[in-house]
This record gives sequence, C-alpha cells and structure tokens, in this order.
Amino acid sequence: MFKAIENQDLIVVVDTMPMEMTGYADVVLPESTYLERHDYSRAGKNRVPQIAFRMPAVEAKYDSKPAWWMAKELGHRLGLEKYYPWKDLEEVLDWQFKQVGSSLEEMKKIGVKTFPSTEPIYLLPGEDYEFNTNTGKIELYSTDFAEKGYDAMPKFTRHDSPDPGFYHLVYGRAPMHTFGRTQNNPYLFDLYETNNVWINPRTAKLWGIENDSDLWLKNQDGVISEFSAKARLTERIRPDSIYMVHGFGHTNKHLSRAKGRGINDIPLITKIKIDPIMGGTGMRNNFVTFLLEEPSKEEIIASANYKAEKPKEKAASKKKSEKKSEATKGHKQESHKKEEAKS
Amino acid sequence: MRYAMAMDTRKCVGCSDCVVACQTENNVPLGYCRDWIVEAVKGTYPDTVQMHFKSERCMHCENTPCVRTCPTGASHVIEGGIVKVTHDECIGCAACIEACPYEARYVHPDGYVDKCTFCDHRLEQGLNTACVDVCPTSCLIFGDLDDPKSDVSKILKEKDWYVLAPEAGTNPQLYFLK
Amino acid sequence: MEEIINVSGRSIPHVYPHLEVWGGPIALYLFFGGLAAGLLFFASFFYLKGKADSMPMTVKVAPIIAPIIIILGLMLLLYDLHHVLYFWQLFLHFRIESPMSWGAWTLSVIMIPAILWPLSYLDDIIEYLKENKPNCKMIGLLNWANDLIKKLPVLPAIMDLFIKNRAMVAYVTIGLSIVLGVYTGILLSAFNARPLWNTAILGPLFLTSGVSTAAALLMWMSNDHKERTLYSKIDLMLIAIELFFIIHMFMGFLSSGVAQVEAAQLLLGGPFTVVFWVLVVGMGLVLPAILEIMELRGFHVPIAIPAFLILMGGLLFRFIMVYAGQASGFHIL
Ligand code: SF4
Ligand code: SF4
Ligand code: SF4
Repeated sequence: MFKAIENQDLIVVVDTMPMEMTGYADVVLPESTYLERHDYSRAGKNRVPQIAFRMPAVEAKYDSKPAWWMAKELGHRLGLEKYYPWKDLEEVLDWQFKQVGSSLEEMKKIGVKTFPSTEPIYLLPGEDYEFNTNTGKIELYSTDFAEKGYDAMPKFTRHDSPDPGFYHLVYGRAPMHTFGRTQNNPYLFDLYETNNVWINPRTAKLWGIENDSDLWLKNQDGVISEFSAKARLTERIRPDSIYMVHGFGHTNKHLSRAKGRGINDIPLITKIKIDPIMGGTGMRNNFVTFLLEEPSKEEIIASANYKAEKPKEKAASKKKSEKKSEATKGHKQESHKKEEAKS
Repeated sequence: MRYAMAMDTRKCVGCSDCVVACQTENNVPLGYCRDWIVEAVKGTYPDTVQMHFKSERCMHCENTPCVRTCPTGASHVIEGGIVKVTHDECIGCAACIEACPYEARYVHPDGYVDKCTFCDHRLEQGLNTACVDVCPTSCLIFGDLDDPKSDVSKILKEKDWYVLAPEAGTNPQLYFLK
Repeated sequence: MEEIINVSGRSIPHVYPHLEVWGGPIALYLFFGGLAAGLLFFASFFYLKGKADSMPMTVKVAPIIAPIIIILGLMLLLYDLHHVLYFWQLFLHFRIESPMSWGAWTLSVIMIPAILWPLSYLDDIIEYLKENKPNCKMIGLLNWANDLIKKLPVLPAIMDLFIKNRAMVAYVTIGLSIVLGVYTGILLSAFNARPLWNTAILGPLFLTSGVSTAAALLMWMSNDHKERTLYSKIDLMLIAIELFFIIHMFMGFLSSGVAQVEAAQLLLGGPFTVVFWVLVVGMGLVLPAILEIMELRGFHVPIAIPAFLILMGGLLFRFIMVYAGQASGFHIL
C-alpha cells in the first residue's frame, strides 16, 4: 500500500474531513459536507417512484467547495468549457426537474416529488417472465458458471478457524455514526466517542477480562492495534468471536476529538479473501487475540511492518507512515472513486 | 388534557437521534441530556438472546414525588400534566432528583435543575416534540390521552404495554409497547 | 447473562447507575442537626427537672455548641445548593409536603432559642470556664461578647423576658428539638424513590442516634462524676433502642418488595456491609456499650473512648445512609 502511494506522481484527495489519507496528498481539495452543498437529485424507481432534491441547509464553512464546483473549475482550466455549459448545479437541476414535469422552484418547496408507477413493480401471477440467465429461469445450478469452469452449484467450504486464544474479528457499524466522517461532530462524538470490543462473558472469564478493561488487539500476523479500547461483555457476540464498530482509532491530529479513540480494525485486517468468480472481498476472516498490557510504541510500529519491504529513505523520515498506510486503504479507495466520478 | 407518550421498544434501533434532537432543540449542554437510550439484553448464547432498546425521558407522572419534595415550588405541573421547573425559583437543592425514581432530572451546569418538558414550547405552536419528529422508525407516539382519537390513545388500546417501576406509585405517562 | 446498558445520553456525571447528587455535606448537616437537637433537648429537659445548678454542663455550658453547629449545618446546606444565589426562594415558600422546606424552617425557628439560651447563661458559662479551665482563650472573647450584649439597645430586654419565661421556652425547645431530630431522618425517609430511606423507622432512629451522640458529647465534656454516670446510663439505653430500631428496619425491608429487599442487601452483603456492621454497629454502638458497662461495673475506662466512638459511629451512620440510600432504587430498566 505504501509503495503504491510512493509510486504515484500526483495524489489529489477530495474529502470533507482531514482523514489519514489527506496527509499523503500533494493537493487537497476540501469538499463541503452534504449539508452545505447542492447534490444531484436522488431518483428512485421504488414502490413509489420519486425524485428528491438535495440542497444546502447551512452555508459552507471554511474554504470548502462542492464537488460539482471543483469539476467545473478544473474543466475550465483544462479548456473543457464546452462540457460545462451551465453556471451552477441549480441550473442543471432545474433543467433536469423540468424534464420530468417539475422545476427547481417547485422542488425547493416540496423537496420530494412522487410519481405514479407506470409499470407493475412485481411479477404478476402467471406472467411469462424471462430472467437474465441462459435458461431464462432462476438458476440454482448456474449454467454460466459451469461453462466457465467454476462450481456451478455453490458448495459449502468451511471458513478458517482461529488458533487457540484467537477469535474471529467481526466488525460493523454504530447507528450514531456515518462512517468516519461524523466522529468529530461534537454531538455525535458525545453519543459514541469510541468503539469498544464486544466479548462473550465466557471468553472474558478465560482471560480474566472485566467490563471496561482496557485491551489492545493483536492479529494472526502479529499486527498490534495502535490504541486501546474498553471491553464490553455481552451475549450479543459468540464466544469464538469479537465484535467492534468499524472506523475508530483515527491518527490525524486535526480530528480534534476523534483522534486516538478506540481501535482501528483496518490494520488488523491483513488477510483479505477474494472471491474467484466475482472478485468480491471478504475481510472478516482475520483473527485477533487480546493484549492486556499496553504494548510499547516500538512493538506497535515493528508489528505494523510485519511484511512490508524495507522502508525507503523517504519512508524512514516519515516514521510511522507504514502503519498509517494500512489505515488509509479504505479512504484512498474512496477518494479514488470520487475522483473518477468527478473526471 | 393529559399528554402522554408511547414508545415501541420493538421498533427502536438505538440510533439516539431523539437524544441529539432534544439536545439541539432545547440547548441542553453537551454531556447532559433530557432523554437517553437504554439497551437491555437477556439470555445466554446460543440460547435465545433477546434485546431491545428503550428511549426514556421524564415520565411526566400523574403522581409527582418530584413536585411534592420541592421546597420552593420551582417544580410544578402545567396544563396537560407536563412537569416543569421554573429555573429562577429553583435553588438547586436536588431534592427532586432524589425523589424521582426514574432519574429523569439533572443539575444544569448553570445550577438549576432541568428536565424534559415534552417540548411544551413546540406543542404551543401545534408541533410535535422534537424527539418524536426526528425518530426515523416512528417508534415514539405522542398525544393527548383524554382524546380517544389521538394516536397515543389508539395505540395504547391496540397494543400491550407496560410502565417502568409501577410499584413506585408515580403513575408514569411514558408507556412502553411490548 | 442479563446486560443492561446505557447506550447514549444520561452522561450526567456520576449519576448513573448510582445517583449521587447528595454527598458529604448533607451527611454532616444531618449529623450536626441531630447533635444540636440532642444538646437542646437535654438542656431544656434537665432545666425543667430543676437540675440547672447540679448539672451546669448540660443546662448552661454545652448549649453554646448548639447554635454554632446549627449555623455550620445551614452553611453546609447552602454550600450543597447548586443554585445558591437563589437560596432566598427557600424562605419565600413553606411547602408542607417538602422535607427540605421543613428543614430550612425548623432550623431557622430553633435558631432563636438555640442562640438566646446560651446567651442568657453567658455569665455562668464564663464563671464555669474560669473555674475549670482558667487558661481557656475563649474566656476573653466571651467576656467581650457579654459586655457588648449588655450595651445593645433591645437585646437585654428580650433576654429578661426570655429568662423570666424560661420554663415555657424549655417546653417549646423540647418540642422543637424533637422535630429537628426526627426531621433529620424524615429528610431522607420522605423519598419514596429511594427504598433504603423510605421507612418510617428512619425518623425515630435518627432522633435516637442524634440524642445519643449529644449524650456522648455531654458525657465527655462534663467533669462531674454523677453527670457522667447518668449519661453513661442514658447512652446505654439509647444504644439499646437504636439496635432495636435497626433490627426492625431490616425486618421491615426484608418483608417488603423486591426493591426494599435489594436496598437492605446493600447493607446485608453488599458494598456497604462491612462499613455498616463493623464500623457503625460494632465500633459505634456495641463496643462503646461494652466499655460503658465495664465503666459502670467499676473498671476504669477513659470516658473519652466510648464518647468518641459513639460520635464517630453517628457520623458514619449518616454518611452510609446518605450514600447507600442513593444507590438503592426501583428497577427502572
Ligand atoms: S419521571 Fe421523575 S421527574 Fe418526571 S414527573 Fe416522574 S418523578 Fe417527576
Ligand atoms: S432542585 Fe430546584 S426544582 Fe428540585 S427540589 Fe430543589 S428547588 Fe425544587
Ligand atoms: S430516534 Fe427513535 S429509533 Fe432512534 S433511538 Fe430514539 S426512539 Fe429509538
């Protein structure tokens, strides 16, 4: 990961918050948050077809700009004005709304407009319907897979089991937060300021862990979490697994509140399984064990390098960067996606 | 008029939107709150493990120990059975906090005691309480119990409900739907 | 495992799950209230029995402590108010159902005899001190106060009236001191929401305990052998009554609802058990009782020891009741 970053000629990060990745960027384009900007309308052909207008609730803070503005300005500077024949997104939205018999003015008032369904959303009884498969039927046995030489009928393959003393690392989300970006919000931070490690009481007993004990985690490859989190003993997790909310343990000091809170699961996910057919990734096949004593900084740093190649000079000067590089994987992918979308 | 709230413990997802809505609507200082979320888990894995969330606040009891113990009359009951505290009559003795079985009151950093008001300032404008309005699962139902056509009267007739610590004898008006 | 957690909100400092908005000041306030009530009770009682001259300590000297600790208690109460600049609201209302209101008013009313009583005996107090503690630095101060009072305009007239009607005043004071002593218990027992407090025995129990701390203090301060023996006997009786009340309190709890049983468990196998049984009951009641019995049987025990133990026991008892009471509650989850 770090090598990948090093090999880039230019890294541009577009984000609403000072995430870990922004530290690596050559150029940072601060984006306004979703409450501060116009976005393209949401349109859905749901049970009730509808379009929804998304407009700023408050003025953008600092020097942040909406993504459409960045794209348009970049376009102008690249001499691509002809692709941006509009003044601002409101104009675009107005045109779009007018195509479906509404207008910006109306949408500003009502926010969401619904339309009658023109076609049935369910299959009707007795209807002759062809699915998008070779046979036109729902295929439990996929002829497509068979042709390409894959398992046509899914077979159960047992997942890996942890070594003694290790537990499945399961991660998920907390309802108070939307990814990492809300963790620095004072109100939401107040609600949920750090993740904790869910442990089944039976497991905890083996380790002598009590509610609210401080823990560090170490995964099967020896990677140690940078920060600690408190234990929560609960029956909501199986004895062979632990659970924690994803996206905590930030290292960027600009996240004045969220920095250093909780354990970041991403560095602990060193083993990623890839589905051979559709390329989906499985990340819940890593195992962790508990460290009840605070590991030394050197240990943590050393553990983060477990497989990485010898750090180059530049890397050495940046010190802890490898560890960060692991941490930023997710963000980098996100921002890349964003950039693609924008260009 | 008798205001009351019903809370569907099966629908609540514990998102705490109601907590933040109250904090921002009523200028509750950070770190304090007038409503809060409780999560209860029962059972032992792998047997049935059950859980539910409850969104709690002052129950605006019909029999109010908090009002009775107040030495100055700062705690009082207004139209609709809403229990309120007049801030500049309150001396901050915290007797009412001791008297409340639900621990629904807190000492505001400015010194007086504060609590849920059922957003009476919004009710006056014909609005609903802030928590009810933001709840994404519509699990909070507010209304007038004296009006048989109100949502809360209807749902309490339809569904099984319970109140917390009925043995405390306060006759609380926050009903939890089973 | 049954798990109940607070997902969000209610991060009110140390309120949850154990509510602790009342702390040391309230416990001390109750202790001082009880002690003052006891001192005033004994002073009036023995005055009415015509023992003013044979028990000068009780009737004349010791009451000077009462106004001091009542003022201290009131100051503690004010200190504990979070919105203290509005304290005058207390004295704009009298709310019959509110024990706080009762307390504020009772203390204010009892303050009148509590101050006038020792003032009317100032001459005797000075004399007593000169006789027994000639080096006491207080003598100068008291002399000065005595002269000052005589020069003030209205006060001497009031004093005369007071002294002429002392018997009547004594009856009123006995009444008020009982109200004050009971009140220190009622302040807690009026809270239905705290099962450990919510028992009718708490009023008489606190009254007895307050009177017994006063008796202990008097026994300690007196240098008259007869007076001491009398208080020894009174203390023994009061300790017996207290133990009886305590046992009854637990019997009451254990035969009540779940919340009450759990409240009792705090003292019978919970976090407060050791302190309560070892320090309050053992060191504060039983041990001094044994020492006093030994003393009465003729063994020599320095009187300060049982007296000190009883005072400490009384103080600790209030601390434990205040804290443990706030840890008790109904099942609200
Ligand atoms: S819940 Fe507590 S504060 Fe609210 S009315 Fe009942 S006793 Fe009073
Ligand atoms: S804290 Fe305020 S509202 Fe509560 S009992 Fe005391 S004076 Fe009344
Ligand atoms: S907003 Fe609704 S769903 Fe969310 S915690 Fe509150 S009551 Fe539950």
